[in-house]
Amino acid sequence: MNKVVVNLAEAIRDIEDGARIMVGGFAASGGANNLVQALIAKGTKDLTIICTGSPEWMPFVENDRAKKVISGFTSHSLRPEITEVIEAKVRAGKLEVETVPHGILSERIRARKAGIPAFYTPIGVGTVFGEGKETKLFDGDECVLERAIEADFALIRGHYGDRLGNLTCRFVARNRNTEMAGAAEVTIAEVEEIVEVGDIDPERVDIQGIYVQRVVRAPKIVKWLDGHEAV
Amino acid sequence: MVALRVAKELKDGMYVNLGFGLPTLTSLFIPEDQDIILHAENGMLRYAGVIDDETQADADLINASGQPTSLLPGAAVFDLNESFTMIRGGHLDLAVLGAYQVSEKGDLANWQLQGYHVGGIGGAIELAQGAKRVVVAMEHTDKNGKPRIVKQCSLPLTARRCVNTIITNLAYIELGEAGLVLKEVAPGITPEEVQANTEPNLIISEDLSEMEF
Repeated sequence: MNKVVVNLAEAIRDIEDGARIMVGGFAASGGANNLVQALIAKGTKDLTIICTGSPEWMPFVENDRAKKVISGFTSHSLRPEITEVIEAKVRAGKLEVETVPHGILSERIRARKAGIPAFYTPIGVGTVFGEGKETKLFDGDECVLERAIEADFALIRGHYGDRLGNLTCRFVARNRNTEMAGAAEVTIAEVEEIVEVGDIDPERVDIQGIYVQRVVRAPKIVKWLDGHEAV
Repeated sequence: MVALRVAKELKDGMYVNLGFGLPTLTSLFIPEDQDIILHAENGMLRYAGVIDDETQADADLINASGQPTSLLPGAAVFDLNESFTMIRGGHLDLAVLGAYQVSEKGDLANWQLQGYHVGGIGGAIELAQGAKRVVVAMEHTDKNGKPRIVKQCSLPLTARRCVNTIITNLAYIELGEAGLVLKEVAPGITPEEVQANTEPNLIISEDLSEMEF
Protein backbone atom coordinates (compact mmCIF):
# COMPACT_ATOMS: atom_id res chain seq x y z
CA MET A 1 0.00 0.00 0.00
CA ASN A 2 1.36 3.40 -0.99
CA LYS A 3 -0.92 6.43 -0.79
CA VAL A 4 1.87 8.92 -1.37
CA VAL A 5 1.54 10.76 -4.70
CA VAL A 6 4.43 12.56 -6.40
CA ASN A 7 3.06 16.08 -6.55
CA LEU A 8 0.07 18.35 -5.97
CA ALA A 9 -1.18 18.14 -9.58
CA GLU A 10 -1.27 14.35 -9.32
CA ALA A 11 -3.07 14.57 -5.96
CA ILE A 12 -5.97 16.56 -7.45
CA ARG A 13 -5.93 15.00 -10.95
CA ASP A 14 -9.55 13.80 -10.94
CA ILE A 15 -11.27 16.78 -9.31
CA GLU A 16 -13.65 18.00 -12.00
CA ASP A 17 -15.95 20.96 -12.57
CA GLY A 18 -18.98 20.92 -10.31
CA ALA A 19 -17.32 18.90 -7.53
CA ARG A 20 -18.30 19.30 -3.87
CA ILE A 21 -15.17 19.91 -1.86
CA MET A 22 -14.52 20.04 1.88
CA VAL A 23 -11.51 22.18 2.75
CA GLY A 24 -9.92 21.89 6.22
CA GLY A 25 -8.54 24.76 8.28
CA PHE A 26 -9.58 27.44 10.78
CA ALA A 27 -8.12 30.95 10.31
CA ALA A 28 -4.32 30.62 9.86
CA SER A 29 -4.13 27.03 11.07
CA GLY A 30 -4.42 23.72 9.24
CA GLY A 31 -5.54 24.94 5.82
CA ALA A 32 -4.79 22.76 2.78
CA ASN A 33 -3.46 25.87 1.01
CA ASN A 34 -1.15 24.02 -1.40
CA LEU A 35 -3.92 21.74 -2.66
CA VAL A 36 -6.24 24.74 -3.01
CA GLN A 37 -3.61 26.65 -5.02
CA ALA A 38 -3.11 23.63 -7.28
CA LEU A 39 -6.85 23.38 -7.85
CA ILE A 40 -7.05 27.08 -8.72
CA ALA A 41 -4.11 26.64 -11.13
CA LYS A 42 -5.89 23.69 -12.76
CA GLY A 43 -8.89 25.91 -13.52
CA THR A 44 -11.56 23.67 -12.00
CA LYS A 45 -14.81 25.61 -11.62
CA ASP A 46 -18.46 25.53 -10.45
CA LEU A 47 -17.29 24.07 -7.16
CA THR A 48 -19.20 23.78 -3.92
CA ILE A 49 -16.82 24.66 -1.08
CA ILE A 50 -17.57 23.42 2.44
CA CYS A 51 -15.33 25.06 5.03
CA THR A 52 -14.88 27.14 8.21
CA GLY A 53 -14.53 30.63 6.73
CA SER A 54 -12.89 33.14 4.40
CA PRO A 55 -9.31 31.76 4.42
CA GLU A 56 -10.63 28.60 2.78
CA TRP A 57 -13.23 30.01 0.35
CA MET A 58 -11.43 33.22 -0.63
CA PRO A 59 -9.23 31.73 -3.40
CA PHE A 60 -12.28 30.08 -5.00
CA VAL A 61 -14.51 33.16 -4.73
CA GLU A 62 -11.82 35.63 -5.86
CA ASN A 63 -11.13 33.51 -8.95
CA ASP A 64 -14.81 32.81 -9.72
CA ARG A 65 -14.38 29.08 -9.22
CA ALA A 66 -17.09 28.59 -6.61
CA LYS A 67 -20.77 28.02 -7.38
CA LYS A 68 -21.66 27.70 -3.72
CA VAL A 69 -20.03 28.31 -0.34
CA ILE A 70 -21.22 26.44 2.76
CA SER A 71 -19.45 27.96 5.76
CA GLY A 72 -19.72 29.35 9.29
CA PHE A 73 -18.51 32.72 7.99
CA THR A 74 -19.81 33.63 4.53
CA SER A 75 -18.81 37.22 5.35
CA HIS A 76 -15.23 38.24 6.14
CA SER A 77 -14.74 38.71 9.87
CA LEU A 78 -12.08 41.45 9.57
CA ARG A 79 -12.40 43.01 6.11
CA PRO A 80 -15.80 44.58 5.28
CA GLU A 81 -14.68 45.30 1.69
CA ILE A 82 -14.39 41.55 1.03
CA THR A 83 -17.81 41.00 2.60
CA GLU A 84 -19.16 43.55 0.09
CA VAL A 85 -17.54 41.68 -2.82
CA ILE A 86 -19.06 38.33 -1.87
CA GLU A 87 -22.44 39.94 -1.07
CA ALA A 88 -22.43 41.56 -4.55
CA LYS A 89 -21.74 38.17 -6.19
CA VAL A 90 -24.68 36.66 -4.30
CA ARG A 91 -27.00 39.51 -5.33
CA ALA A 92 -25.89 39.15 -8.97
CA GLY A 93 -26.77 35.45 -8.85
CA LYS A 94 -23.16 34.39 -9.45
CA LEU A 95 -22.74 32.69 -6.10
CA GLU A 96 -24.89 30.86 -3.60
CA VAL A 97 -24.07 30.95 0.11
CA GLU A 98 -25.28 28.85 3.02
CA THR A 99 -24.21 30.06 6.45
CA VAL A 100 -24.05 27.11 8.85
CA PRO A 101 -23.09 27.35 12.53
CA HIS A 102 -19.56 26.00 13.07
CA GLY A 103 -20.61 23.20 15.39
CA ILE A 104 -23.59 22.12 13.29
CA LEU A 105 -21.37 22.00 10.20
CA SER A 106 -18.86 19.96 12.19
CA GLU A 107 -21.51 17.47 13.31
CA ARG A 108 -23.02 17.24 9.81
CA ILE A 109 -19.57 16.39 8.45
CA ARG A 110 -18.86 13.92 11.25
CA ALA A 111 -22.28 12.32 10.73
CA ARG A 112 -21.43 11.64 7.10
CA LYS A 113 -18.09 10.17 8.13
CA ALA A 114 -19.86 7.97 10.72
CA GLY A 115 -22.67 6.81 8.43
CA ILE A 116 -25.38 8.72 10.28
CA PRO A 117 -27.81 10.28 7.76
CA ALA A 118 -29.31 12.90 10.09
CA PHE A 119 -29.56 13.99 13.72
CA TYR A 120 -31.73 16.18 15.95
CA THR A 121 -30.39 19.22 17.80
CA PRO A 122 -31.90 22.17 19.69
CA ILE A 123 -29.36 24.50 18.02
CA GLY A 124 -31.09 26.86 15.61
CA VAL A 125 -34.66 26.63 16.92
CA GLY A 126 -36.50 29.92 16.45
CA THR A 127 -33.92 31.36 14.07
CA VAL A 128 -33.25 31.30 10.35
CA PHE A 129 -30.94 28.33 10.98
CA GLY A 130 -33.88 26.16 11.95
CA GLU A 131 -36.28 27.44 9.32
CA GLY A 132 -37.85 24.89 6.97
CA LYS A 133 -36.41 21.94 8.86
CA GLU A 134 -38.37 19.07 10.39
CA THR A 135 -38.84 19.49 14.14
CA LYS A 136 -39.54 17.12 16.99
CA LEU A 137 -39.97 17.47 20.75
CA PHE A 138 -37.49 15.66 23.01
CA ASP A 139 -38.29 15.91 26.74
CA GLY A 140 -40.31 19.00 25.93
CA ASP A 141 -37.54 20.75 24.00
CA GLU A 142 -38.02 21.52 20.34
CA CYS A 143 -35.24 20.18 18.11
CA VAL A 144 -34.54 20.47 14.40
CA LEU A 145 -33.42 17.70 12.07
CA GLU A 146 -29.99 18.30 10.51
CA ARG A 147 -28.78 16.21 7.57
CA ALA A 148 -25.31 14.78 7.07
CA ILE A 149 -23.36 16.65 4.41
CA GLU A 150 -21.80 14.88 1.44
CA ALA A 151 -18.76 15.77 -0.62
CA ASP A 152 -16.69 14.32 -3.45
CA PHE A 153 -13.31 15.35 -2.08
CA ALA A 154 -11.84 16.49 1.23
CA LEU A 155 -8.64 18.55 1.10
CA ILE A 156 -6.91 18.43 4.45
CA ARG A 157 -3.59 19.33 6.10
CA GLY A 158 -1.47 17.16 8.40
CA HIS A 159 1.98 17.58 9.91
CA TYR A 160 3.57 14.16 9.48
CA GLY A 161 2.13 11.50 7.20
CA ASP A 162 3.15 8.00 6.15
CA ARG A 163 2.44 5.91 3.05
CA LEU A 164 -0.49 4.23 4.84
CA GLY A 165 -2.19 7.61 5.25
CA ASN A 166 -1.69 7.96 9.00
CA LEU A 167 -1.38 11.64 9.93
CA THR A 168 -0.45 13.79 12.87
CA CYS A 169 -1.63 17.37 13.40
CA ARG A 170 0.05 20.23 15.26
CA PHE A 171 -1.95 21.87 18.09
CA VAL A 172 -5.17 23.51 16.80
CA ALA A 173 -4.47 22.45 13.20
CA ARG A 174 -6.68 19.48 14.04
CA ASN A 175 -9.72 21.78 13.63
CA ARG A 176 -11.83 20.48 10.71
CA ASN A 177 -9.14 18.19 9.29
CA THR A 178 -10.01 15.31 11.62
CA GLU A 179 -13.76 15.45 10.91
CA MET A 180 -13.38 15.90 7.13
CA ALA A 181 -10.97 12.95 6.73
CA GLY A 182 -13.24 10.14 5.60
CA ALA A 183 -16.34 12.31 5.20
CA ALA A 184 -15.83 12.71 1.43
CA GLU A 185 -15.55 10.05 -1.27
CA VAL A 186 -11.82 10.80 -1.57
CA THR A 187 -9.67 12.41 1.13
CA ILE A 188 -6.44 14.06 0.01
CA ALA A 189 -3.92 15.18 2.63
CA GLU A 190 -0.99 17.53 2.22
CA VAL A 191 1.69 17.14 4.90
CA GLU A 192 4.86 18.88 6.00
CA GLU A 193 6.86 15.68 5.92
CA ILE A 194 6.43 12.08 4.78
CA VAL A 195 7.87 9.66 7.31
CA GLU A 196 8.56 5.92 7.28
CA VAL A 197 5.87 3.50 8.35
CA GLY A 198 6.36 2.96 12.07
CA ASP A 199 7.84 6.42 12.70
CA ILE A 200 4.53 7.78 13.94
CA ASP A 201 3.79 6.59 17.47
CA PRO A 202 0.42 4.76 17.27
CA GLU A 203 -0.71 6.81 20.28
CA ARG A 204 0.00 10.01 18.32
CA VAL A 205 -1.99 9.23 15.17
CA ASP A 206 -4.57 12.03 14.91
CA ILE A 207 -6.07 10.94 11.59
CA GLN A 208 -6.11 7.20 10.90
CA GLY A 209 -4.96 5.99 7.49
CA ILE A 210 -8.26 4.22 6.82
CA TYR A 211 -9.83 7.66 6.16
CA VAL A 212 -7.12 8.93 3.79
CA GLN A 213 -6.68 7.98 0.13
CA ARG A 214 -3.80 10.24 -0.96
CA VAL A 215 -0.88 11.92 0.78
CA VAL A 216 1.35 14.58 -0.79
CA ARG A 217 4.28 16.50 0.67
CA ALA A 218 3.94 20.29 0.57
CA PRO A 219 5.56 22.93 2.78
CA LYS A 220 3.17 24.85 5.01
CA ILE A 221 1.75 28.11 3.66
CA VAL A 222 0.56 30.35 6.50
CA LYS A 223 -2.12 32.91 5.68
CA TRP A 224 -3.26 35.08 8.58
CA LEU A 225 -6.94 35.93 8.88
CA ASP A 226 -6.49 39.46 7.50
CA GLY A 227 -5.11 37.88 4.32
CA HIS A 228 -1.35 38.48 4.59
CA GLU A 229 1.02 35.55 4.23
CA ALA A 230 3.66 34.87 6.86
CA VAL A 231 7.29 35.29 5.81
CA MET B 1 -13.61 49.50 30.32
CA VAL B 2 -16.27 46.98 29.32
CA ALA B 3 -13.56 44.31 29.12
CA LEU B 4 -12.39 45.23 32.63
CA ARG B 5 -15.89 44.84 34.06
CA VAL B 6 -16.38 41.56 32.19
CA ALA B 7 -13.14 40.26 33.73
CA LYS B 8 -14.75 40.58 37.18
CA GLU B 9 -17.38 38.01 36.14
CA LEU B 10 -14.69 35.37 35.69
CA LYS B 11 -14.22 33.38 38.89
CA ASP B 12 -11.75 30.77 40.06
CA GLY B 13 -12.64 27.33 38.68
CA MET B 14 -14.72 28.53 35.73
CA TYR B 15 -14.52 27.30 32.14
CA VAL B 16 -15.08 30.37 29.98
CA ASN B 17 -15.37 31.12 26.27
CA LEU B 18 -14.63 34.67 25.12
CA GLY B 19 -16.24 35.46 21.78
CA PHE B 20 -14.94 37.41 18.81
CA GLY B 21 -14.10 41.11 19.17
CA LEU B 22 -14.65 43.05 22.39
CA PRO B 23 -14.92 39.96 24.64
CA THR B 24 -11.47 38.74 23.50
CA LEU B 25 -9.97 41.85 25.09
CA THR B 26 -10.98 40.43 28.45
CA SER B 27 -8.22 37.82 28.14
CA LEU B 28 -5.79 40.65 28.99
CA PHE B 29 -7.37 41.25 32.40
CA ILE B 30 -7.63 37.77 33.86
CA PRO B 31 -6.05 37.41 37.31
CA GLU B 32 -3.05 35.10 37.04
CA ASP B 33 -3.41 33.60 40.50
CA GLN B 34 -6.73 31.92 39.65
CA ASP B 35 -7.65 28.88 37.58
CA ILE B 36 -9.94 30.54 35.09
CA ILE B 37 -9.76 28.22 32.11
CA LEU B 38 -10.35 29.81 28.73
CA HIS B 39 -11.90 27.71 25.98
CA ALA B 40 -11.29 28.60 22.33
CA GLU B 41 -13.80 27.11 19.90
CA ASN B 42 -11.07 26.25 17.41
CA GLY B 43 -9.73 23.71 19.88
CA MET B 44 -7.94 24.88 23.03
CA LEU B 45 -8.48 24.85 26.77
CA ARG B 46 -6.30 27.03 28.99
CA TYR B 47 -4.70 29.45 26.57
CA ALA B 48 -3.09 32.80 27.32
CA GLY B 49 -3.31 36.36 25.98
CA VAL B 50 -2.55 37.52 22.43
CA ILE B 51 1.03 37.56 21.11
CA ASP B 52 1.62 40.88 19.31
CA ASP B 53 5.03 40.06 17.79
CA GLU B 54 4.38 38.00 14.66
CA THR B 55 7.93 36.63 14.62
CA GLN B 56 7.03 34.87 17.89
CA ALA B 57 3.73 33.58 16.53
CA ASP B 58 2.88 29.97 15.69
CA ALA B 59 -0.04 29.72 13.25
CA ASP B 60 -1.08 26.43 14.89
CA LEU B 61 -1.50 28.21 18.25
CA ILE B 62 -4.23 30.74 17.56
CA ASN B 63 -7.41 31.73 19.38
CA ALA B 64 -10.88 31.70 17.80
CA SER B 65 -10.36 35.25 16.53
CA GLY B 66 -7.34 33.98 14.58
CA GLN B 67 -4.82 35.79 16.78
CA PRO B 68 -1.59 34.09 17.88
CA THR B 69 -1.56 32.99 21.49
CA SER B 70 0.19 30.42 23.67
CA LEU B 71 -0.77 27.50 25.88
CA LEU B 72 -0.51 27.58 29.68
CA PRO B 73 0.57 24.59 31.76
CA GLY B 74 -2.34 22.16 31.94
CA ALA B 75 -3.63 23.11 28.49
CA ALA B 76 -5.34 20.72 26.09
CA VAL B 77 -5.80 20.86 22.31
CA PHE B 78 -8.53 19.11 20.33
CA ASP B 79 -10.48 19.29 17.10
CA LEU B 80 -13.58 21.32 16.27
CA ASN B 81 -15.96 18.44 16.80
CA GLU B 82 -14.70 17.90 20.36
CA SER B 83 -14.76 21.65 20.95
CA PHE B 84 -18.45 21.90 20.03
CA THR B 85 -19.20 18.80 22.05
CA MET B 86 -17.97 20.85 25.02
CA ILE B 87 -20.04 23.87 23.98
CA ARG B 88 -23.32 22.19 23.03
CA GLY B 89 -23.11 19.67 25.85
CA GLY B 90 -23.41 22.40 28.47
CA HIS B 91 -19.88 22.06 29.84
CA LEU B 92 -18.98 25.75 29.72
CA ASP B 93 -19.80 27.87 32.78
CA LEU B 94 -19.80 31.15 30.91
CA ALA B 95 -19.75 32.54 27.39
CA VAL B 96 -19.04 36.21 26.75
CA LEU B 97 -20.37 37.33 23.38
CA GLY B 98 -20.50 40.52 21.37
CA ALA B 99 -23.84 41.71 19.97
CA TYR B 100 -25.52 44.01 17.49
CA GLN B 101 -28.81 43.87 19.41
CA VAL B 102 -30.26 42.26 22.55
CA SER B 103 -34.03 42.24 23.18
CA GLU B 104 -35.73 42.68 26.55
CA LYS B 105 -36.53 38.96 26.49
CA GLY B 106 -32.86 38.07 26.04
CA ASP B 107 -32.94 37.36 22.30
CA LEU B 108 -29.50 37.87 20.74
CA ALA B 109 -28.64 39.19 17.27
CA ASN B 110 -24.93 39.22 16.47
CA TRP B 111 -24.26 37.56 13.12
CA GLN B 112 -25.80 39.38 10.17
CA LEU B 113 -26.44 42.99 9.19
CA GLN B 114 -29.77 44.21 7.81
CA GLY B 115 -30.39 43.24 4.20
CA TYR B 116 -27.34 41.02 3.75
CA HIS B 117 -27.26 37.46 2.39
CA VAL B 118 -23.83 36.70 3.83
CA GLY B 119 -22.94 36.70 7.51
CA GLY B 120 -20.73 35.26 10.21
CA ILE B 121 -22.48 33.00 12.68
CA GLY B 122 -19.37 30.98 13.59
CA GLY B 123 -19.91 29.29 16.93
CA ALA B 124 -22.03 32.08 18.44
CA ILE B 125 -25.29 30.17 18.21
CA GLU B 126 -23.90 27.10 20.00
CA LEU B 127 -22.28 29.27 22.67
CA ALA B 128 -25.51 31.23 23.17
CA GLN B 129 -27.61 28.08 23.55
CA GLY B 130 -25.04 25.82 25.17
CA ALA B 131 -23.23 27.81 27.87
CA LYS B 132 -24.67 27.78 31.40
CA ARG B 133 -24.56 31.58 31.49
CA VAL B 134 -24.33 34.11 28.65
CA VAL B 135 -22.93 37.60 29.16
CA VAL B 136 -23.15 40.09 26.31
CA ALA B 137 -20.35 42.67 26.20
CA MET B 138 -20.98 45.58 23.84
CA GLU B 139 -21.21 49.33 23.36
CA HIS B 140 -24.55 50.54 24.71
CA THR B 141 -25.54 52.22 21.43
CA ASP B 142 -24.62 51.66 17.78
CA LYS B 143 -22.46 53.99 15.71
CA ASN B 144 -25.50 56.15 14.94
CA GLY B 145 -26.31 56.47 18.64
CA LYS B 146 -29.32 54.12 18.47
CA PRO B 147 -30.01 51.74 21.37
CA ARG B 148 -28.71 48.21 20.97
CA ILE B 149 -30.96 47.02 23.81
CA VAL B 150 -34.36 46.92 22.12
CA LYS B 151 -37.91 45.66 22.65
CA GLN B 152 -37.60 43.33 19.70
CA CYS B 153 -34.53 42.62 17.56
CA SER B 154 -34.86 43.90 13.98
CA LEU B 155 -31.75 41.96 12.87
CA PRO B 156 -31.70 38.19 12.21
CA LEU B 157 -31.50 36.30 15.51
CA THR B 158 -28.57 34.23 16.70
CA ALA B 159 -30.63 32.60 19.45
CA ARG B 160 -33.82 33.23 21.43
CA ARG B 161 -33.96 34.02 25.17
CA CYS B 162 -30.34 33.20 25.85
CA VAL B 163 -28.79 36.34 27.38
CA ASN B 164 -28.45 36.51 31.19
CA THR B 165 -26.41 39.70 31.61
CA ILE B 166 -25.53 42.74 29.50
CA ILE B 167 -22.37 44.74 30.22
CA THR B 168 -21.87 47.98 28.30
CA ASN B 169 -19.87 51.19 28.55
CA LEU B 170 -22.86 52.66 30.45
CA ALA B 171 -24.35 49.89 32.55
CA TYR B 172 -24.56 46.40 34.02
CA ILE B 173 -28.01 44.91 33.38
CA GLU B 174 -29.44 41.56 34.53
CA LEU B 175 -32.22 39.86 32.60
CA GLY B 176 -34.78 38.12 34.77
CA GLU B 177 -38.43 37.10 34.91
CA ALA B 178 -39.44 40.66 35.73
CA GLY B 179 -37.48 42.18 32.87
CA LEU B 180 -34.28 44.21 32.56
CA VAL B 181 -32.82 45.14 35.95
CA LEU B 182 -30.27 47.96 36.06
CA LYS B 183 -27.74 46.85 38.68
CA GLU B 184 -24.76 49.14 38.03
CA VAL B 185 -24.05 52.38 36.21
CA ALA B 186 -20.66 53.39 34.84
CA PRO B 187 -18.85 56.17 36.75
CA GLY B 188 -20.42 59.57 35.96
CA ILE B 189 -23.51 58.04 34.33
CA THR B 190 -27.02 58.43 35.78
CA PRO B 191 -29.81 55.81 35.57
CA GLU B 192 -31.78 58.35 33.52
CA GLU B 193 -28.99 58.51 30.94
CA VAL B 194 -28.94 54.72 30.71
CA GLN B 195 -32.73 54.64 30.25
CA ALA B 196 -32.58 57.35 27.57
CA ASN B 197 -30.24 55.13 25.56
CA THR B 198 -32.26 51.93 26.11
CA GLU B 199 -35.49 51.14 24.25
CA PRO B 200 -37.36 48.94 26.77
CA ASN B 201 -38.11 50.10 30.31
CA LEU B 202 -35.44 49.37 32.90
CA ILE B 203 -36.20 48.31 36.46
CA ILE B 204 -33.84 50.17 38.78
CA SER B 205 -32.36 47.72 41.27
CA GLU B 206 -32.81 48.52 44.97
CA ASP B 207 -29.08 48.01 45.44
CA LEU B 208 -28.03 50.02 42.36
CA SER B 209 -24.34 50.85 42.55
CA GLU B 210 -21.52 52.43 40.58
CA MET B 211 -19.53 50.05 38.40
CA GLU B 212 -16.21 49.00 39.93
CA PHE B 213 -13.27 47.58 38.03
